[in-house]
Amino acid sequence: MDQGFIIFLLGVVIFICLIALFIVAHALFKGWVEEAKLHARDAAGRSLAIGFVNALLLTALSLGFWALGENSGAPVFAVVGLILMVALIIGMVFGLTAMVILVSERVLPEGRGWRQLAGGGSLLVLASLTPYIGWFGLFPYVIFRGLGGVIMTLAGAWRARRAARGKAGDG
Amino acid sequence: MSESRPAQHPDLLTLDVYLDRELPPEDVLEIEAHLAGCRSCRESIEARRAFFELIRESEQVSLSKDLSADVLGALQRTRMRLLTGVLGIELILAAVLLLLFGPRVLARLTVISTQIDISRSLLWLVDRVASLGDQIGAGLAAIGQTFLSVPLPGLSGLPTAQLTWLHLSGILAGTIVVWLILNRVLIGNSELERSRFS
Repeated sequence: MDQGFIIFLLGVVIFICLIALFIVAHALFKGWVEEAKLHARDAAGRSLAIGFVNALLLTALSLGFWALGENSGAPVFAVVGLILMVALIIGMVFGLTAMVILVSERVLPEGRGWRQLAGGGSLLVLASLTPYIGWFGLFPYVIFRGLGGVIMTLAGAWRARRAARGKAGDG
Repeated sequence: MSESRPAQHPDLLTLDVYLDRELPPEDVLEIEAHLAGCRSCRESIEARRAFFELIRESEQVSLSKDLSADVLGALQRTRMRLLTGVLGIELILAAVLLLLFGPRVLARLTVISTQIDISRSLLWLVDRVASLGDQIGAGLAAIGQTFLSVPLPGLSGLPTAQLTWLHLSGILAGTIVVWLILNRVLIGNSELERSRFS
């Protein structure tokens, strides 16, 4: 019974930490996260596909580089694998925050600021905890769609910078 | 209005619709026929025409105070009051139910909880998820072994460690190419107009 209570308590703490993470990520990286939300909202299918493909292949690449680093004895490959995994996790966190904002705006349109985010984030986390449907259905969907939005934001920023450099070169 | 009825003075609404040129052609003919013989209706219609002309020619006056924020705020406050009222009623009902049935439900739950070991159930659930992860890992390892067992043409004389390194490098290079192509296909044609750097 004690062990069950400790697991429950741990779950509550992790839940609160996740909500705080979403609020802080939105506060610190508002521009990126809002743009990712717009891409995830307006191109849901494309975001989902991009997120799924990138999550799968980046995970494979990360594990591959890690294995190459161990096999070849050159730690640089393992470091590359680690960097790829960290980049993927950061992208997923931003993507998840973007999806939390999207859910919050739709479910709590009258809410404002951190309260709206906390409400939407709580709903999303609770829904994702639903056995099987939430774990293997909703949560991967949200993660992939959010990650896709983040990648589209990065691609858009890269294109815009390239276009700006092209214009500066012509002028 | 129809041809079978005797000519009557048209009502003000009909006159307005006539002035807006929205009456059907047969009704227009009827009204004009009536106006030709009725001075009072002619005077009414002239007065209304002059009134509409005056409105059309008058200046646009902007409001000295924008009341939209006040109106929306009042609506929101009304809605919040309604929600608070509903929530209050629900809380009172919940409190009453708790007082009436709470002790009985609690006693039943206590009996049930002694019969179920919750921590063991949670550990079982964690174990099932972990075993699923193990199965996926084993599947991926089997796929990897299959790739590694494919002989590379002309390189079979190399030591096993170097072959494995070459296999892995080849797989990684192929994965990177596939990753770039898929991203180009999926992202390439999208309208990425929104960018805070543009």
